[in-house]
Amino acid sequence: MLSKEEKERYSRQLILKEIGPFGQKKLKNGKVLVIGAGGLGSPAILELAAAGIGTLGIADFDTVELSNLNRQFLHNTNDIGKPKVLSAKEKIGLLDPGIKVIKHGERIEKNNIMGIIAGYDIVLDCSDNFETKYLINDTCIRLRKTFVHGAVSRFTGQLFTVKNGTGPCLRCVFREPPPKEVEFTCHGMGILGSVAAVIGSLQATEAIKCLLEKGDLLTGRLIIVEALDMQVRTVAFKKDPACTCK
Amino acid sequence: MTLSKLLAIKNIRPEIVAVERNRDIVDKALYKDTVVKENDILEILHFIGGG
Repeated sequence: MLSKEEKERYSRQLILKEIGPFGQKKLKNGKVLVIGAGGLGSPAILELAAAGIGTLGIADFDTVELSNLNRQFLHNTNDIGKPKVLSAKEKIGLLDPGIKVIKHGERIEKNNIMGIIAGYDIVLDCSDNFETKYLINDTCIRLRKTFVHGAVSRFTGQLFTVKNGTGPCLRCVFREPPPKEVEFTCHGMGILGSVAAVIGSLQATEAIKCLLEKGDLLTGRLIIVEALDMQVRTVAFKKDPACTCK
Repeated sequence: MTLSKLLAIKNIRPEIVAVERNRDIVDKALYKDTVVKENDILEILHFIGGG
C-alpha cells in the first residue's frame, strides 16, 4: 500500500494507466544503478529519484569540479571538491528522503564491476569513457543484466537498451573501441549540457519502463540525436553473428 | 561499389565504425557483399564516449 504522502507525491503519474498504484509499487521495489554522476547521470539520477525508484546505486570516483557545472546540474558551486556520490546522495535526500541511496565511490574496474552490478535490476551507463562503456556492456551481457547505453559528444547523443544481457549489444554496433587518440569525450571534444540532459532523461525513461514492464524498450534500435541540425533518428541494428553476446 | 571497398578508399577501419544505410545498421559480415546503390543514404557512425 502507498502512504498518503506517496499518493500525493506521485499523484500525477499514478493517474497514468501504465503506472497506477501497482506500477508505483514496482518502481519502489526497483533497484537501479547509475554508473557516472556527470552530464548523463545528473538528469537520470534526479528523474529516477523523482519517479520513486526505491533503491538507487550511484557509482562515481570523481569529485565535483567547476568545469562540470555547465552540464552536471545534480551538483552546484557549493559542492566543488566534494565526492560526486556524496553530492548525489545529498540532492536525492532533499528531493525525497525515502529513497535508499547506495554510494559506490570506487573506480569501476574489471575486478569490482561484477560485485557492484550484481545486486541491481537495471544499469544505466552514464560513464564518460570508452573503456568503462565496453566493460559495462561485456559484464551486463555476462550477468544477463538489462542496461541502457548512453553517450554524448559535442551536440550529439546516442542511446540504446540491452534487455537481460541479450544482444544485439554495443559490440554488435561498434566491435571495438576506437584507439585512445580519437577518444570523443566531453573533456577533449566539448559537450552542450542540454544535449547530455536529453540522453540522460531518455535513459531514465527506459529504466522506468523496464521496471513497469510497459511499452517497448529501445532494443535493437539506436536513437541518435544531432542537436545542431535538430535531427533525431532511430536506426535499427541486428546482432552481429561474430559478436560474443548471445 | 561494395561497402568494404568504400571504407577502404575512405581509409576507415570497419571495426571502429558502424555504417548506417537507409536507417539500418549494416551487418559487419555483409560489408563485402553490400553494393552501394545510387540513392542509398549512408552515414558513418563513430562511437562517442562522453557522459
